[in-house]
Amino acid sequence: MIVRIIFVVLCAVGILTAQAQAQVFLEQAKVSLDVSPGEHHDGFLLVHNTSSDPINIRAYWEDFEYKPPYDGAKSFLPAGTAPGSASQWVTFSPQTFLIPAFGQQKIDYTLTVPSQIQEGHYGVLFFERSVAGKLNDEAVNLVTRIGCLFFIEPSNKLKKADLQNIILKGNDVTARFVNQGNVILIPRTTYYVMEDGGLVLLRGETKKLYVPPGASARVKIPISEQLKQGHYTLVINSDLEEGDVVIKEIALTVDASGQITIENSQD
Amino acid sequence: MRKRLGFILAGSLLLNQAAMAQTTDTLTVSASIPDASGLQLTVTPVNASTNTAGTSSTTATTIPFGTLTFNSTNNIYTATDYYTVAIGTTGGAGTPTVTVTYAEGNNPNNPGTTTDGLGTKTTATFLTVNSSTGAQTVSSLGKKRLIDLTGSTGAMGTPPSGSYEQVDVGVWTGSTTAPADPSNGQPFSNTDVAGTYTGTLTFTATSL
Repeated sequence: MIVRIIFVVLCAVGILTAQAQAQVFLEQAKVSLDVSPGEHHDGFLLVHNTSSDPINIRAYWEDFEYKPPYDGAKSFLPAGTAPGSASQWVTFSPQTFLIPAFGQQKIDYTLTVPSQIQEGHYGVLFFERSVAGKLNDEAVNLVTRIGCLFFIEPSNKLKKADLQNIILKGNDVTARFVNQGNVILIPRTTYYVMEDGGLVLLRGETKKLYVPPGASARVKIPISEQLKQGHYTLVINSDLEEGDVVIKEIALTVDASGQITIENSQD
Repeated sequence: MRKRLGFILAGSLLLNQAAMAQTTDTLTVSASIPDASGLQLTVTPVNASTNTAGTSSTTATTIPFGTLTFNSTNNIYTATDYYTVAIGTTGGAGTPTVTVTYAEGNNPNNPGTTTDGLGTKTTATFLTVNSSTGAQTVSSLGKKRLIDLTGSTGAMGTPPSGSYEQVDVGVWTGSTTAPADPSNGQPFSNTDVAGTYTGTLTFTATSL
């Protein structure tokens, strides 16, 4: 019986360990660069093989776009097809290579910024495990790839946003976070509700958003606390990083029945 | 007068020494963990009739349904196994998210097109699995035909702590057991052209 229990535990540990490991491991999954026109930048990435078998890797560039509702979900597109593609700016080497068991490979990249950069340029450098062998019967090939996201933005970038269309939906205050700048914004939005006396009754944080220039995403603030009749102020603070913030103060009124109404809002 | 000046000088020297002794230096200790990304798939065949799991593989590069067998009751072809694909991700500063996309391969029904190919006749069920208990719940992506996994339609969110994502891939049978096969799917039947049907499922891991 004890032997059986030990066997089951070892199997469980083995399965869990296998799921926690990675065959292809990329040390740097994101490169963020603030650049000036004409600038050159050299860097490198390290790809590891954490398995006991050698693996063939193919490196290639694609574009990506954050998709509605801008919760971080992305679409990947062929290089050079997305607006703001950085595919022509980045070269890298090697493009195909074999990583021995538990080995690693250094991939050098060079960024060459053209004489003008008006907005953020983006892309992803993929490392794909090559598939070998032929399929003889009904079968689905499995391809795994990991990507390093490149965020190449002008050093004088415009990070500007607004919270618009503030309305009540049930007990939720919703707003549209509108990106009015020229780079992707990834706001961390916090909020709190305070009563007239300045006492904070409720605070929280919404899910991170990933909003491209010109796009807008919904922000939902749940007013879960049962508020008594009176006047309150909801303060929404979207931190755009690097010291940029969007703040909105919204005056709320709660009547005797508990019904919430929005009185006004201001920056 | 000279004596007084001497006292003042000596006093100010002592004070200066005391001030120096009180000066503290701070050493900031810091370490940065890169925003890393890692991905591993664990593929396990599961007998479709008995739900018995076979041997898992972390090196599998195909989901081999093999030669399908004819089910004379329903007049459709079925596979012996369906396959679970457990998605293991690792990350430094943040676990990457995974997107699953499908591309049609060999399609004897309509060569060079996606019409009535393997992607229409196979499904993917998106599950969240509790690592400790093995309990499975169908995620918000539900069950889809492989052909519908384009763009961000197969984009999985970050699994809850202590859980991982899993995709079960099987041949469409018209099952109505929850999660039911999508109604716009098709079975393999005698109306299909004989031959080898293939496709490619790509699992893409990137940070947010």
